[in-house]
Amino acid sequence: MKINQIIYLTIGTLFAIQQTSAQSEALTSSPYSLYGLGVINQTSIGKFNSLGYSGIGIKSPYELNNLNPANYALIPQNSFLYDIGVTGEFNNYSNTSDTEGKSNVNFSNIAFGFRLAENLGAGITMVPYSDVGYSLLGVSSNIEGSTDTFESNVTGLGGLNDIRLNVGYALTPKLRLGLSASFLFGNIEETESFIYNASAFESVEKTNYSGARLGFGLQYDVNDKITIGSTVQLPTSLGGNLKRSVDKSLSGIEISVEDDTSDTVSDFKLPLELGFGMSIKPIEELTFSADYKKNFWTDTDQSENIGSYEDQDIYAFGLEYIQDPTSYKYGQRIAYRLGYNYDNGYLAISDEKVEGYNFTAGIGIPTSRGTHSMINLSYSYGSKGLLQNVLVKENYHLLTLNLSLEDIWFVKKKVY
Amino acid sequence: MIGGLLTIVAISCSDEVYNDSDFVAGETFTDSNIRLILIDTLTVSTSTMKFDSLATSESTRILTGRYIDDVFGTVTTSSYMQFLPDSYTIDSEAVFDSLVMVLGYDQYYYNDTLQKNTIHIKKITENLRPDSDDYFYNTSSISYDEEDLGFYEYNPRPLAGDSITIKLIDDFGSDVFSKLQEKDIVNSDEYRDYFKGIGLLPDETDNGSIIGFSKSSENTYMRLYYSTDTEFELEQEYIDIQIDATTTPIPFFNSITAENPITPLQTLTDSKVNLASSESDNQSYIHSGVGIAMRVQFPSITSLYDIPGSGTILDGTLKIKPVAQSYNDNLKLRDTLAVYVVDQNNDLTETLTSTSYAILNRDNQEFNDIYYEISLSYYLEELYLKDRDLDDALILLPVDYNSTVDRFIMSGNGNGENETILELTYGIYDED
Repeated sequence: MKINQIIYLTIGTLFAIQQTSAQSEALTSSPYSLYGLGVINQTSIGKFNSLGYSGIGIKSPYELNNLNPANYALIPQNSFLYDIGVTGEFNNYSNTSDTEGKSNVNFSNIAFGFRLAENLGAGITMVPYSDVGYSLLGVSSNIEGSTDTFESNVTGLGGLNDIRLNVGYALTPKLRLGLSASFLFGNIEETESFIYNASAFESVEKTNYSGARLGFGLQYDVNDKITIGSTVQLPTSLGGNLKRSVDKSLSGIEISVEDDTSDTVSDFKLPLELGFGMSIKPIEELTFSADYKKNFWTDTDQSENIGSYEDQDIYAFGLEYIQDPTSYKYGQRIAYRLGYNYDNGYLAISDEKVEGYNFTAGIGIPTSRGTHSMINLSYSYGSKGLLQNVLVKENYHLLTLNLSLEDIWFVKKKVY
Repeated sequence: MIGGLLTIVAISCSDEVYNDSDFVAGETFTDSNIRLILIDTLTVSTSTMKFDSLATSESTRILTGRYIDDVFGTVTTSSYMQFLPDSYTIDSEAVFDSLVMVLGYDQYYYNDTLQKNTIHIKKITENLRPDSDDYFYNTSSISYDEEDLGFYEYNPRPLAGDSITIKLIDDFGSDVFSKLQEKDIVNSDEYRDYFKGIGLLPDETDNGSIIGFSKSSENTYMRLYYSTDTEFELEQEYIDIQIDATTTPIPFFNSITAENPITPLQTLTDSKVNLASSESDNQSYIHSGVGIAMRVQFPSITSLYDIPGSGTILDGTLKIKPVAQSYNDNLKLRDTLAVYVVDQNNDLTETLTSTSYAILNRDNQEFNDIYYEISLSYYLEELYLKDRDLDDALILLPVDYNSTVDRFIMSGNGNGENETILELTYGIYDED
């Protein structure tokens, strides 16, 4: 039984990895994913998706908390926790004159965690780190040396995945420390094509990025009602290598200019990220959580052709209400959640930061009394960008379904 | 459970239109990653060359006429051909009436048709057979009797008119008639032996136009009229004598010559000679029929490699302007010119495949800004990649250069704002 489950999970994980790499072809479809590694994924796992993505200071023994590795120390003995998520997104973009809608469904995460020893828990999560999916038509550029212009179409596809090992250790019953090691990998393919007079041109640049990143977490229970937490993600740089294919046609004759030629590409730097969070239970039924994160993008000293990276502040707030998680009444075990997230953006385009916010709401539906398994459904409405001449405003509805499951291991089932 | 989820994921993946968008982001949302540069400073080296000869056995028309061109000299065309009758039998009772030559216009003409033209019809005295190979050339000649078989002075009406008819002298007509009637000639070999062909020559004092006549047997023929006395009336019959199109090598050619051209053109004594535009008033010349062609070479195309970054040729157009006042209603420009490739010895190697024509762009004709455009991107690509010899050159000639006498004067390089330029669009897709 147990061995079978491990096999299932292993196979499942492998499948999911394959799936994500095939997947990463289709994700966001946000015009902002043009920059850097794409749109950096906000969605977390489990219930935290409906808490405004807050949770650094949330103590959650039965649900995997990817926001703070210290929390893995809390995984109960004999519990095996896993979480599988899918998201459905509907986006709506507008500029000053045009509006377009788009929707897609995607894998969002797979994660599992278990206790290794007394006070020591560990887990592996795999979440998309960033998504690229944009298509810009009619990008008009001047032809140098003439008054003419040409119009090209630029599209991008791909994204990076983050496989993270989290280890949490409870130093004392109140103080937990965590360590995370991420392996980030993926590729971004950018295509630019245009037709000029009787000639056509297309270049496809596929950049593979990979790199590792270390992070630390800490959680401290001030008292029964208040927990505080903190996380650090160390800066790192992702090495990239680029393969380029350039094709053109002159007067109808197809010519391959470059075929899968390798080229160097500068590393992409990820910033130092600091996070602070706390959770308060004013009454037993209610948990309030608040996070503040600062990502030091300015220090990465990177810029795009028209955008630059600047320090980012993220504020997240969440509220969860459960009448009684151990109640015999099913209705009383349902969790209700609300959240808000504000992000002042890491990207400045023409000195205009692309800020965004999300409202989240969700419920957690318990599956059985014997375990702490939950089906977490979360809805998020967000907006990004501004409706000014340069930027694109993007509104999106995000629906996330997480199966946050607990299996009890090493305990013989009693047969009644 | 996991399997089920993955299925959902897989379905979402198969959605092909995920990245299909009509959305145009803000103008400066991004820049193209590719820089396009229009370069019009690459050296274009222009010159004039002359083919030693052009094969005119296969000319599509009879050309005859003479005019004096200020630049190209005295242009004279005369045409030589063999005839065969369509029948070798004439009733023994019949009586010779006349022999006439009918020449049908084929609508081609060059220079001033308001001037009178003259045609001398001469009897060829040697076999109309090429000397060495299978062709006669524009420079070929053949001997003929000084005495005219026919003579005609006319005002050419190549467009409005249908044909001209020239009466041949009766001595000749009745001789043909009696040879046939008396069965001295019963087949084509005997006929050819007897009558080797005719030449149609302009008068040496003509200064009018070059006129094209049809080679088809329906429009151009000799007609031998004779009468037979029946019981009641005199019945007229005829035999048509047509241009011999069945024999090979073809017993036909147009002699096309231009004598005493301007001094620079007189240096073109060998086809290997390139007369640089700088040595001929910054001009290049084209003379169809005579074989003078404009020659264009791109000696510095590989300087594109000096542009930093990785790039590629995306377009190339050569613009050649006819010299103003060098053309008029009589000396017309044609809408297209053929573009051929020659090697360093000026041997014709091929027609330019992808873009065979120079097209006359008259969009700004009212501003006297008309030019021939040649789309050259693939040819330039070959030169740039050294798939083609840098010594190769393009030459410009009218498409039907063996059947016309059109002439053109083009601005070569060094001719100020009218000079021939190459507009090349180069795309840089990687800056470093």
